[in-house]
Amino acid sequence: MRYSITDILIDSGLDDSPFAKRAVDNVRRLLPKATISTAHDTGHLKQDQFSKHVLYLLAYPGQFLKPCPGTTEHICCGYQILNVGTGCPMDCSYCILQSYFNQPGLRVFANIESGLKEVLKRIDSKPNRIFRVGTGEFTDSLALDPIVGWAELLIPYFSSRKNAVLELKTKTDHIHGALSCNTRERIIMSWSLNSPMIASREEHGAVSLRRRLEAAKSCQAEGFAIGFHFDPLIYYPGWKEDYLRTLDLMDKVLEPERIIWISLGSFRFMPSLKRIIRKRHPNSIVTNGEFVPGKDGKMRYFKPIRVELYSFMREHLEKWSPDLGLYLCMEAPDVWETSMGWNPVNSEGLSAFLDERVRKIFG
Amino acid sequence: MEMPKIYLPLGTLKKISVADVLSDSNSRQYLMSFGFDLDELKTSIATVGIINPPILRQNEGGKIEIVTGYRRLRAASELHIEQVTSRVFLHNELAPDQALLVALYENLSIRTFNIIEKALVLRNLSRFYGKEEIIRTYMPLLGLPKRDEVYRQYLEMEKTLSEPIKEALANGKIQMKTAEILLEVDDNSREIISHFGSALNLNINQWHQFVDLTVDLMNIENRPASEVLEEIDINLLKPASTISNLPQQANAVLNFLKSKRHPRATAFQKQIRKKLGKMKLPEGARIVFPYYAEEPEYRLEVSFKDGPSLRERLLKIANDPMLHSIRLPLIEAISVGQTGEIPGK
Repeated sequence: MRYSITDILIDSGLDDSPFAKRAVDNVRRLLPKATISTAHDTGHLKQDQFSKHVLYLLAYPGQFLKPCPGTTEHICCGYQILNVGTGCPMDCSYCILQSYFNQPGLRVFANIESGLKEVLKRIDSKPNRIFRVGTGEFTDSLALDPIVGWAELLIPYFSSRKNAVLELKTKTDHIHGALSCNTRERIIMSWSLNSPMIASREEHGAVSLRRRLEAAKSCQAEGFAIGFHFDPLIYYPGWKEDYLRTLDLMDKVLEPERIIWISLGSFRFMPSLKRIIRKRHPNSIVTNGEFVPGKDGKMRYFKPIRVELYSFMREHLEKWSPDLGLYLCMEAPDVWETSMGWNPVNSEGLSAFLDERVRKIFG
Repeated sequence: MEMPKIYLPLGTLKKISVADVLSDSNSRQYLMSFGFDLDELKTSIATVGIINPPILRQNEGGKIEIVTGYRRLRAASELHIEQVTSRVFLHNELAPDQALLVALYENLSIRTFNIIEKALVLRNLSRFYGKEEIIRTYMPLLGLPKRDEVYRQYLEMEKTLSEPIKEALANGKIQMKTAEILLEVDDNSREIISHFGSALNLNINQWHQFVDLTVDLMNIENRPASEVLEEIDINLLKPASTISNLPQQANAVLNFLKSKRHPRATAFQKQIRKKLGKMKLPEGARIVFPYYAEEPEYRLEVSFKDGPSLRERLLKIANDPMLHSIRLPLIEAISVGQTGEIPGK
């Protein structure tokens, strides 16, 4: 993918950190025209909230590991978010980050190594619990990897733990860093997928579905466990044929082996996001569906539409393989029951299901 | 950043012709008032006169500009007062940017600005100051967040919205978020939506629903407002319509738009209402269904005087032959409106 980064800004005090030095070296190699400056020297930067031109390297003052906020009244997967940064160099029209962060630029937390100590201490203190950890909630896990080297930094720490897995979720093919690591243990390389139409029309800056699947194939061949996330599923004229094309492509490119899970989630958003999408992406179709307010204040497709989306995807994915660890992201028990044929009852039930998938794949 | 300091001299007290000042189109350039009511001010002036003289500036061409006191002069005019004593400054005594700040601080000291007035202030400030300075220094004074997009939005609103919409905003008849949606559409569509909504005499929430639904349908159907709303004209607003009063007409219009925007949810609501309507519920009992089928259950509400009366009512409900046909809300919702796919661009 092509970056539009023109300025790198490093928080004063972090200039000498190994993380920042490595990032600066990579920027000089990959983006020779980018300006590198310290944080107290920001006068020349003119940017809006959604700017993709500035990469900030700064210290994160809070806790690095937090449970996924999920959403009330729905079944959540019990994921833990490792907060390595916020913002994304891609510009998907439906991205919830557009309404999450009121801070401009791409922000990468350069004190991650010191933060990791605390994170690992917490993980080690609960040996009987499985920590499913991911970095892809507030940023893409690998979009900035060629610059910041997250994969090479994080993989060794998680590979050596028996009660944790690390999922690197992306819409890119930046797998070089992960492949260059010596270990594949407890690491899940995963991709967000969609229909070809949505991928090309709405996921600006992301690589094509074929390239994502080719990257998954390479990781699979190299011994990584892989995962997929059809999220957000979008309902539009011709959606069934389009999503089948993605499933056909998966079938052509991949073997349904060592796939730890595939999640399904339909488009949902806080009401304020609709205006932002219309303004920033006037040709987007993602807000056109029949959305109704949910119990958590988010807009969701009218329930029967969600059931239709999930049932269709489930039916066709299960034809490919019956053992894909299919699950729904942030859904209600009756939607689970009707579309998936079973119901984890609550978030603990879904966590137990996913923990079992971890045991099955990694032992 | 340090705020600019202006030490205003006394100026010259002069009797000024009210008609002359108000008739000059240049006189309003420091105006920060919009959508005001002069009645109270007129009563005050009629009783005790103008206590605080307007501040005027004579520009390089000799024309008089109103720095402060536009409303006082308008009120005086309506009271047929021909001349008003004012503090007049020559152009070299009060520069235009200083005059603007005098106007701003005088207004700030006596009242709060409405949304359109804040937009007017920002536009006026933009004549003299850069965006960064306005955002950093003046937006907090107006109670606005120091954000670039807020600044842009206010300027766009001031420049783009029609007078009736500005008035509705200033008077609190429509919300800022409704105006934001109107900014998304082309001038002609905005005019048609505004005209249509005004004719229906919508309340603040109805206004928002009306604009939101109309703009949604414009986007989904890729049609201008004229075409989206034309269907309403035909179906609901023709002279032969049986709907005789505006509130009913407003509801009918909103229901029509909702049924177009949410066809499956509307069909579900219609069907479940029909089904529940067939039950012979005892007096004081009603069944509430989940409007969008998001909740997995219905709710039964029964009022009763005592145990036996509750028992009697519950038994009547339990023996209703329609009970067996009421399924889970989600199953009911799935069973209706499977008409295929939503329209798209």
